[in-house]
Amino acid sequence: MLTELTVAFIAALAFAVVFNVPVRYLLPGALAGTIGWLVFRSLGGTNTAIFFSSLGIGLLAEGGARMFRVPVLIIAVPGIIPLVPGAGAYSTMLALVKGNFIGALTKGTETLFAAGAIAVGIAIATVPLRLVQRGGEKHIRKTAHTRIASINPPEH
Amino acid sequence: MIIHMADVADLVLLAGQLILENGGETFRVEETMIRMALAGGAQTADVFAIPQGIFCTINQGLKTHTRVVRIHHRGFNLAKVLEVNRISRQLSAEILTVETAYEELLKVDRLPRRYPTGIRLLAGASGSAAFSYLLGAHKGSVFVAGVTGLLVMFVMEFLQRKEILNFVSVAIAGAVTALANLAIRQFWPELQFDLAVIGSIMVLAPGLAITTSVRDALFEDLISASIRGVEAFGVALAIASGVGSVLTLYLWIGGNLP
Repeated sequence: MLTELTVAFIAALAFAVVFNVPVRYLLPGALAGTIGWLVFRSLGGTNTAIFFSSLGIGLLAEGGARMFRVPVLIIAVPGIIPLVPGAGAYSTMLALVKGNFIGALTKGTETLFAAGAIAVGIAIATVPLRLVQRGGEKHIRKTAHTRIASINPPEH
Repeated sequence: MIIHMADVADLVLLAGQLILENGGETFRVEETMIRMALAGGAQTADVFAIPQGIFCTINQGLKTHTRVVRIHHRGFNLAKVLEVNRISRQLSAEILTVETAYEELLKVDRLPRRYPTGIRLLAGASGSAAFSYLLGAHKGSVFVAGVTGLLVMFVMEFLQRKEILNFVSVAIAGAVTALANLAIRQFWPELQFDLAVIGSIMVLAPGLAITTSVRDALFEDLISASIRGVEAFGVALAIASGVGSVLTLYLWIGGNLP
């Protein structure tokens, strides 16, 4: 288990480097990936596990982003990479290549739901912090809303 | 000191363009641009951004400035998004003026990639190896996944320098890794072919597009969310068609797959 977590850490770290995350912020993303993998494995590796894992990563990313004042993506993207259903997508493709359409449909639906679980997990993770803070991002959108006062007057 | 609104328009447009070109979310583009325009002295600002372009109107008094910018090339360099974020904060805190902020943004635009190409290739290789280990591959297959992952990164880097369409280069990279793994399997039949291939194509997986798409949908930027969703799906399809075409040919000439 410990080796597996180390490897998950390396995987998230490596993908953070591929996405050009600055050195200072490599560690949060890699740690999010490790914790995400821990949750994923301890819940048994099903789609439900993917959901809870990506929820955890999303929460860590939202919290970390506010702590370090960086975009959420810098932590979330390396974190979720180990969860991306690469194996499911491959078996779907293999079944299609072999002409086994029923198998492709089964595997494909499973893969689609795994991707959906990641999406919903990240989405729900934004709720708690939104409840605590008073919606700063929405606020600026409202105040900046333009009422056009006049059209440019003709230049003299 | 008089601030020209035309300068502010240039400033916010460049900032938005940098964020969008380097993988930031749409709401971040719009929010940063509005914040910077207001900090630069505009009274109102309206921005509409989609992944392919930005429309923005800022006005002060009776003057209105409207600009449109078309985004042609998008990559991922989260370091640049971070830098623009910092400049926007410093402009709001009046550490930077409109002119100095513009110069800083130009510097960010010229910034090279954060890591040299060699380190990115190695990172891709170790990512591939680690991923195939997580899927339960043996030591030898992990090593093969690492080597073919390096190959995939190298092919992608090469094709992107030649400015080949992204979907096409992803498909080619997928085909190359499938070929390489098939060749290795000829000499070493114990190779866990599927795990090695999955590991090596993980560096192509559209992780950033999925995450950005979800976050765009959350902020009700539904056009951007669907564009990025389609992009993620297209990349996945391109990988599958690259690997799949090679495997189909292999089956056709009489090979067998696990």
